[in-house]
Amino acid sequence: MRPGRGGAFRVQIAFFLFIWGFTFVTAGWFAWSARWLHRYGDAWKPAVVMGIAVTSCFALLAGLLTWTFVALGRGENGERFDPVPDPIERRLLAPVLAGWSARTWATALALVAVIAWAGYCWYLQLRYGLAVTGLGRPVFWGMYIVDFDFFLGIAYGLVLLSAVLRLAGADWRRAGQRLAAMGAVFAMIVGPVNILLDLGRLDHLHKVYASGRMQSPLLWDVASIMTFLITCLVYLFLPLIPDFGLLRERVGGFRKPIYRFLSFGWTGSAAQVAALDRANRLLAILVVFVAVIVRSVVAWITSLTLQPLWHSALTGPMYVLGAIFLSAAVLALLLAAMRRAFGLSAVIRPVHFDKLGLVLVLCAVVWGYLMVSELLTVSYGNEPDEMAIIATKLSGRFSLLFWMAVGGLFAAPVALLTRKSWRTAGRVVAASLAVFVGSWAQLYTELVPVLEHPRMPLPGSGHYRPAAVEIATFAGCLAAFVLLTMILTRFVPVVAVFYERRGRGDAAAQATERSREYQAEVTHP
Amino acid sequence: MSRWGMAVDLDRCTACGACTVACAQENNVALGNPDRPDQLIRWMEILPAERGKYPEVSARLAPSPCQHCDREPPCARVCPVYATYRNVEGLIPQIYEQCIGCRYCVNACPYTCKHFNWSRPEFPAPFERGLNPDVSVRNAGVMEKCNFCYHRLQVVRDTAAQEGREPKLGEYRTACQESCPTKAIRFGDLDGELEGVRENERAFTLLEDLGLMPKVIYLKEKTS
Amino acid sequence: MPATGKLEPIGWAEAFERLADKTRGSEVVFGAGDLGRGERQLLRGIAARREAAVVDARLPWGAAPVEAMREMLGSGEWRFDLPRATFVLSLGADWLQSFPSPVEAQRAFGAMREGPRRACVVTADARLSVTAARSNDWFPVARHHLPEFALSVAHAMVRMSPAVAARSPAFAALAGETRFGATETGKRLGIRPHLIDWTASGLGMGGVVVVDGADRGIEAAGMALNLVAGAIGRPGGVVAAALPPLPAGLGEPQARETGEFPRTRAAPVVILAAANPVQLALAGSGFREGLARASFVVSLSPFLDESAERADLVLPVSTPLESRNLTWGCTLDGRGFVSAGPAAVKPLYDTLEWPEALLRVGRALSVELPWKDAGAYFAAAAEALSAQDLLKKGGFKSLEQDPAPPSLPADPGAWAAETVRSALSRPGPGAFPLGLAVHVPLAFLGGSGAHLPYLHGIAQVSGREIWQTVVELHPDTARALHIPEGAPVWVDSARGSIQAVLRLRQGIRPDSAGLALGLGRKALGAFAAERGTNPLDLVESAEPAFVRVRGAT
Repeated sequence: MRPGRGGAFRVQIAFFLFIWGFTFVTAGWFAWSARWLHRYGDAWKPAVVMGIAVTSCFALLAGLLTWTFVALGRGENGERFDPVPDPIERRLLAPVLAGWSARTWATALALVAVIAWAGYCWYLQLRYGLAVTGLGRPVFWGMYIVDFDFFLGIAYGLVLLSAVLRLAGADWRRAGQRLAAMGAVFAMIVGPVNILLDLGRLDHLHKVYASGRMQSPLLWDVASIMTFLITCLVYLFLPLIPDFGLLRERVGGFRKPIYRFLSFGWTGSAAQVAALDRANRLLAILVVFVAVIVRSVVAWITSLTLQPLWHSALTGPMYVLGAIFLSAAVLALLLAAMRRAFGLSAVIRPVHFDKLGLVLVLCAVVWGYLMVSELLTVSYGNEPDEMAIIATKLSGRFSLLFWMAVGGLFAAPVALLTRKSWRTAGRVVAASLAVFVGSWAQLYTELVPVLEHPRMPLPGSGHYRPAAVEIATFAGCLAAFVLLTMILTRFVPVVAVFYERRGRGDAAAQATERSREYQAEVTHP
Repeated sequence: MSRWGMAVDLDRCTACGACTVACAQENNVALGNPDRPDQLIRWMEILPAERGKYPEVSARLAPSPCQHCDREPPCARVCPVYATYRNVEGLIPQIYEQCIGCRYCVNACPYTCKHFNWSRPEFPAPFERGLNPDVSVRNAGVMEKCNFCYHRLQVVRDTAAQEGREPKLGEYRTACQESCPTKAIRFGDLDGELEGVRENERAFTLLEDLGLMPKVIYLKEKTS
Repeated sequence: MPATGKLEPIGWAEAFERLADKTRGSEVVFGAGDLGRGERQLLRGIAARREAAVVDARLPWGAAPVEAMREMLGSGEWRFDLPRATFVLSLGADWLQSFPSPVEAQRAFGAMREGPRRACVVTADARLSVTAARSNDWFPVARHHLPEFALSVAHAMVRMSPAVAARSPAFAALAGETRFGATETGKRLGIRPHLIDWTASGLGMGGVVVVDGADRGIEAAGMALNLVAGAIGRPGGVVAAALPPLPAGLGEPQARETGEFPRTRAAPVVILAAANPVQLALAGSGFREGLARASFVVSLSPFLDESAERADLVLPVSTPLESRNLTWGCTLDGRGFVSAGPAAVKPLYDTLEWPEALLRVGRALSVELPWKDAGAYFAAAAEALSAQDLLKKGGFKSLEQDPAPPSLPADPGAWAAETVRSALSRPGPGAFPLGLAVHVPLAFLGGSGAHLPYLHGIAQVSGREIWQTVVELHPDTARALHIPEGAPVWVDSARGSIQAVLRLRQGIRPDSAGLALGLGRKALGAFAAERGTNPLDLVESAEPAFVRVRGAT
């Protein structure tokens, strides 16, 4: 242990202890649950399966972190980390180093006002009960669950998209990597709030842990949210370390020790870079699995019931695709916003929008295929219960939302972005907005029409229309998402300076290498 | 071990609604808010179903409580906290103090026969004098449903225990059964009072093809 | 009617002093709503001694066809012997939902479905009412066509066995006209002719026709059909009631009830006993105008209903649970009974039992009845009915006595033939194309009950709507009007307009519109006031009426 690092080091040790401790506590919780479920004669195997899955995920994460930080500590070369400032770095660090402008303050205050309004509405709901919502019989779930699915879709999709791109070695992903991770973390914070909004007895929430039945998909959801939130925090944090190292050198005042602590002794030595790269790659593999599974868990909440149209194996794939689709749109919007706000056109280039546009078109085509599959399967089967619901989507009460979904998720991307020359930033942003709205509309039309058509002719049953409280809280969630993003962009660069710089340096060499490989194959068969 | 069930003879039922009112009164069901009829709670309801085209129209009006599925009730399957489950006697209780109000159970229920307390039930004077002391008034935010007047079973067992005997056949009666003027509703042990009901040629259950084996058994209208 | 809208509590003594003061020298009119048998007799006794008119303020739908019974059978005390019936034709009567004794109706239905002898029930009505839904068959016949339907059934019966014509030559002669042949009538009414023949044979083999007292024409046709079918006086038909003898002092003298408010020039004092004309009076009765003319209005009622809210003096009466009960009558199979019991609960408020309130009203009108208070009344009546034990412990006893053999007029159907003939000449649909099928849900029977929240859930038996007034239309009718299901609509008649929500159903004739009574209250608290609308605003009387439906945008 080197002198001068004592305090930070102890905190870091505590951090590792916490991670490992959390892993063991989780394992213990599942084991304990399995034991009492077994004793009650209830289904205990789900607890074992989930315990193994979740615990191994946490153990992998904890191991990865430990191993990486040990490697980082070993790799310190004693040199002062002080790369030469270049224009890219100056551009990217400017928002972090500069103070908040009056406009920023005004925007932040406006967002806080929206959040406060949402908070007041929540207070009203806590006081008068869920009666203040538009929910009733038979529509017991409404906008809260739609919003929950929506934000979780953003989170899972952003992580999935960026991790897949990393594994595929797509260079252009670099500009969006950090934004994706940031967006995922914030969506993971904002999304589950909607579950709290939806619960009738918030004060009984602890019973999920105290007497959770692992066979309920809701418990799977609890476990997956827990797992994924921690996974994507790590996913955000690891690539930040070099930038914390840089910021440590660039800032003064109270922020300096914070950045120093967070940089984990980053000196930029070859050993450290190699260790971090390895960790990032392994993490990318892990999150792809986790994201696909947890997104499917959200879909399974509805598809595991017996209700007509919900009870479909297609829901899972549809949700996973929808998440990627939505997150590509969100990423494009975030990139455009950052480019505009911080003048980053040197880093966020037309190629990024071109590629994201391509992702959107591909998603739109696959989405169209899945939607046609579903409609064909259901209509051909012609079951009355299902057809009644389909009819309200195609031409009934929900037709506006349904065709908004089709327009936003299929027509708009295909019409706007099919040709390469069409995929300009403006068009991609327009299509992304359409996808953003369309995704919400689709989740709504997956959930509500089914509930509005119970199998039994129930007396007193009405139509569902979201009440002001539900709309306000959704606005509050969106505002919180934007505000959190706004705040974090003032503390970390929106594009990873270290990777961007390194990427630029390596790009030419890598391209040459790749092209040499193709050529070699052609010339020497 | 008893297996409590109900037989509803649709040939005798006149859809008078006495069961609905008796049930609500017996079980301290919330009065409801006239501005939100969609949030009304009624454990026992008459489900209207019209069939055929004019002028060949017929209607089936079926009193419908919780169906008390015998085989893997979908509500109990998805409940995350043991607020609802199938007990050894085949009853599906609802534990209000355990419920977190997620409403997953009712969304999974193909009969949609559970209810949610959207707001705190209020019993303005003089309604509060009509409350049944054997039944709790539910809090806002929890699910509730027909539990076959379970409190009456407890009373029957307590009385029998005090008198040092076994509960008698037909001693456990539900409020809807007692109030039925045409005796269309019968309640009891499917292996006792109601033995053979399932084998009746008129017997059917709601959404039979889902295979949930409800313990509310309907006897369809006779044809003459 | 003077109405300050504010209530001011006063003592009982002062209340009756005021009443005495106001009624001194002025004309008094009584409105009698749903009162117990004894209470009704008390009221009529007071009215007779004071030479005051008694206006029957009950809803005519679901009431017994008393007028037809009186005119044709000499007395209003006859019963439809449903428990023993083998074939029942409900002629526009939704008797499972609205009947003089709803409990007996349900029990009778249970008895019909009991055992191997299973009665056949058919219902002819414009809508698939609850009774129609629970019947073996539903014949969709518009309300204004019901007399014609009855005539054609009679026509078929006479054709099948000409001897039955002798039971009522006048009616048989009318029914015998060729225009009432099954084929022709079926075409005119839009129903299948063989149903008419089938009904005729069912009735001929010993059936009974159930009608209510809403419309004279239908009532007369139905009772005449009973006559032709030989149902009068036959078990399982229409049987004479064997009522227990009236307790001394309750019989004579007695005022006769009228359906219309007396049209005098003077400003009368109106005393309402369980009557709520502000909400429930038909326009044709002139009751509302009479109230507006009144110099002083007194309301005796357990509930602060619309009329009580506008009365000058409210005399709160105990509910049946809060007071001693003593009533007697006759079950559907004609057997007399006495039922009595002590109060089930202590009164919640400072209220009087019905007999006490009526006796003191009588005293304020300077009418002396033989009992000094309710206790004396109950004791005397219980003694006369030998029901002292019942009054103490509570219970019910049947009286074993045979009904007096009915002595019928020479041709009891003559009045019916005349009445039906005039009903046939009533104008049909004109500018208002849809026949109005009014029905009274069991939950709101007699117009009361709307303030009881648990009842709302069961009021719309065949639909899903709660706490709103629904107009039922056939989907084809609605399509022609371009109104979607669930849309708010206006229902117009020659008399007025109300708002309702549209419900589509196959179980209604395309030329009819169904509306339920009971909502549209102006009083009785949050569960009743301003919920839905009152279809009585559309009609002059209980005669078949016609309406138009249009979208409310």
